[in-house]
Amino acid sequence: MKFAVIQFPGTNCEIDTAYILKDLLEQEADIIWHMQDDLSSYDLVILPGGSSYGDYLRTGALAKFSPIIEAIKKHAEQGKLVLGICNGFQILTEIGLLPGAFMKNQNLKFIGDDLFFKVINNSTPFTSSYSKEQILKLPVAHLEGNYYIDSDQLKELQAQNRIVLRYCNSQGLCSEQANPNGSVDNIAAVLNERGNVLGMMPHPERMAEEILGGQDGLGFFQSILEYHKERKEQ
Amino acid sequence: MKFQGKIKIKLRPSILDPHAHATMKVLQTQGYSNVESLLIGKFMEVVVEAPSLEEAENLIHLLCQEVLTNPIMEDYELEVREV
Repeated sequence: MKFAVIQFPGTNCEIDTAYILKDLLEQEADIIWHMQDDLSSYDLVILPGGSSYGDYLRTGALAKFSPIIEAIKKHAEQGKLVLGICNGFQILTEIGLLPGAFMKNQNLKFIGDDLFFKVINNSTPFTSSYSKEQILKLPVAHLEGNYYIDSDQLKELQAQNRIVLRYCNSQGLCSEQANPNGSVDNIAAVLNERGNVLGMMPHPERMAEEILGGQDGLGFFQSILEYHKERKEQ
Repeated sequence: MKFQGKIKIKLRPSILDPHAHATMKVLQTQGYSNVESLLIGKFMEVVVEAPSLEEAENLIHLLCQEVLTNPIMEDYELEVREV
């Protein structure tokens, strides 16, 4: 499977992400500079974490105008998979592939920590290797992780089962105490309506090897590979 | 003709702004108990070339809607004058 890992000025997780794909999972992965405008030879596009354009104006706001964005939109329109991690998720909301927007964390602190997440929807191309309600321990690193969506759109997300991960405590309780940043409804990952674009705040690429503290993040990549394999066999 | 636009951007009223909330609390604990609310936003000035005031306004509204603000969470006010 061939992955494109997009690099904007200020992106800083592209090498870790490409490492997981190439060295650990033995897939093809290229780091693609944001000034390129063609992704037609790739099966999946990942927008990795970092601070694209220094997070100037708003997170993801300036990345929106890079030439690669049109190619990402085209990729998504064709039904191919797009995964946005952290700043990648923020960019996906800015370009309108995912609903909502991000504000500063409610406690105004940068959060760099391992947190717990509950898998709410495991019937997506990105989460099929997890069980429903499985609790994952994954790292986050963000200042603007406070996900905002209005109440009508929230109802739509809930009704369509498009909330994929929620912040929870170690027992799986999605309480206010377990919400690190003020996100509406403890939302940590959201799917688009068609089901082929996922944005997630935690960093699965930083929790994919035992030496890094665990492998809870590996399942996202394995799910994608499984999905691709099944589609090829059809 | 050149026109200057003054743009005030603020979070929509339904959204709790943690910055403003923390700052207001400090004001209150410093004895400024009359402070009832505080809003923190962004201020921008932009100069554009346009044939008329109306066209300058239209252009700057477009900049605001397409680039400078995120309409999901922000509102803006615009004042344009010839410079």
